[in-house]
Amino acid sequence: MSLLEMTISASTFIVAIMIFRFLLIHKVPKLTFVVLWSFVLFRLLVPFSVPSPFSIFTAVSYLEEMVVTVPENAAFSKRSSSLLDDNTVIMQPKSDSIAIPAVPVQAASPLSPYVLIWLVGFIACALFFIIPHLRSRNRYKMSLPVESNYIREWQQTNSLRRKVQIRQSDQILTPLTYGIIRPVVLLPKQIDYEDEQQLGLILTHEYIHIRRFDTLKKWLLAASVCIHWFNPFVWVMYFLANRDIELSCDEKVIRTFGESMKSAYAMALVRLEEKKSGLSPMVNNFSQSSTEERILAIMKTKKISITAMLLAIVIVAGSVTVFATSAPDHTVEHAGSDGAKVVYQGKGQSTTALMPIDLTFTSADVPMLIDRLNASNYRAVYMDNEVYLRVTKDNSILISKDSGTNWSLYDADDINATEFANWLLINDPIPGYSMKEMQSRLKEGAQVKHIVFGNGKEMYLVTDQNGIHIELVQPEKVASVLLDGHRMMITFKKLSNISATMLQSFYDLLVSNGILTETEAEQDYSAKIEHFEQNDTMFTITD
Amino acid sequence: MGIKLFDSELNIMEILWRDGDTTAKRIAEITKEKVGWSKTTTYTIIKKCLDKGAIERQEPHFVCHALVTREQVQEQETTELINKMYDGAPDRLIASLLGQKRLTIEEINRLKRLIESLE
Repeated sequence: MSLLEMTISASTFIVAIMIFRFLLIHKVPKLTFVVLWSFVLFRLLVPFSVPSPFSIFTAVSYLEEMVVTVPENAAFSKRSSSLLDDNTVIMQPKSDSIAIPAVPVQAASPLSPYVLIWLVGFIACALFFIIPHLRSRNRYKMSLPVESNYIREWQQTNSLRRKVQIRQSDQILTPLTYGIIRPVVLLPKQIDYEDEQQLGLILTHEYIHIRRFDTLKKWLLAASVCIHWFNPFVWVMYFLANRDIELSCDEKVIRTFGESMKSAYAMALVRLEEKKSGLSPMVNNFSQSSTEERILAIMKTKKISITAMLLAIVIVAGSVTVFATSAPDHTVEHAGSDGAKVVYQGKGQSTTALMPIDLTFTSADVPMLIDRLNASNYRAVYMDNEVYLRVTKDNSILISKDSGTNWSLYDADDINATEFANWLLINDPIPGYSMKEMQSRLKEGAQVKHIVFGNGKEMYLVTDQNGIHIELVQPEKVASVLLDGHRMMITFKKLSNISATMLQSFYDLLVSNGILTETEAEQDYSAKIEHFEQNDTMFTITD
Repeated sequence: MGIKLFDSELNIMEILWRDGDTTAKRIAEITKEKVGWSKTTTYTIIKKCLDKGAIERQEPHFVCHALVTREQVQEQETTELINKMYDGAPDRLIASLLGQKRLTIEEINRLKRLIESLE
């Protein structure tokens, strides 16, 4: 999964949790949200996904297929039956490929501008967290041991697996805990060390943080913000999750001490705030105080009812299945050219189909054309508005860019047949008229040549003793006509719009290359136009 | 005149007032044992005392000499210093975004009333 995929998939999850949080904050245990945030964190930081048929992304890709692909196909399928009955034209709509782009996607260079911008943001964010932390850490190190019998006794009765130090500092205003492996609870010097009830509440709160590894959670939250700094939802998550960690901890304190301690605990919080603001000249109305949210949450804490517990479980299980998973991968499996199994892992969504939508006449439909081609000096002829191409009997490729006046030899690259077989599986996965045949030809050692034109246009030429077969790649729809040893193929610039000019030029080309006589060309051209006009609900002839 | 010192700095001054002039090395040994500071931490605090003019450094062997008496020292007011150090620092920004702002007296009284009303 790419960073962008991770960030997008996590965003929907974050929005869902925000809604749950808004509706249910005082109704379900606060731990519910902490657990949900942990799943988002996992999603944000771990670059692989768990496929599930119930994922929201399954629904998304399903919808996409309905919206994007179906209309095109419907146009074909509605009418193609008559054509098939007619038994003259075989349609090969190839738009609904489930494949990734055909052209090998250019690997992003490690210093592409986007990567660079991301890196700058990442470093800035990381420094934004690390520098203040290191400065505070240095301050915390200057703390002193606490001289208090109550604390010493408390520590003995509440020992954890990790050794916890409790120290005192006059440079902090609120109690805090730092360190993950060797945690230190730091108490401000100003708190009332005689008030044992308050001290007990504070220490219990900090020990719960330690037991739950909340410092680690906060670091992971910070890490996810650094990595996904461009995603505002992740920032929102950072702030809400930090609050939820506190709220959940408060809740646990109350459960430990009992509900009767609610007001005492809330008052302790306010007293700490009072100490903090005592001499502070700062009046800051930047945001709604988290203290108020905490106090409300504390005062509203009730015994967890079974209903609330079930609700929490349903929310976690439900939203994790729906949002934390991804759509299952489509797996296309097919025998490769070398007989080995080739497994292609397609993406959930349908992507750009680079194979042109074409109208194909097989050798049974156009026997005369194929015969004449085989009898001529050429094995294949192709044209579009930019390039004319012909392949001679000795497999030389000749290209003309001035409508057939001057021809020059083109030196095409050889392509490994196995790679091409894989490419074909990925890009033309519909078992068409030629797939089986093509595979057996590749298996028997057919040669594959590759031509790259401008604008992403490409051509693969498969050659063996039976003749030549050409596969076209067109990132944009291009009007073209192709005749090779197996078929005549017309592609459209606009769906089902056949360019009469293009067809006319093609017949001219066949004549000028001595494949057809002028009379034969005129007859065949008229026959084709007539055929299309008879099926005018299907095709439009344009100039 | 009064020099304002933090508890950590006072801790070092106490050693000097009790034992007289002491090398930095020796101070580090004492603080490590008594309050658990690392050598770096102790040296950082000694540096702060030097900067504040509470002690002076005498060579050789980095001997620390107290320049002020116990009576001349005031306790540093935490809030005051923290305000000075952390205004505009990134962690203050994060804190305020998190809603961990300082509350005014009115807000605190309002919160107290809120607790009472919910009881």
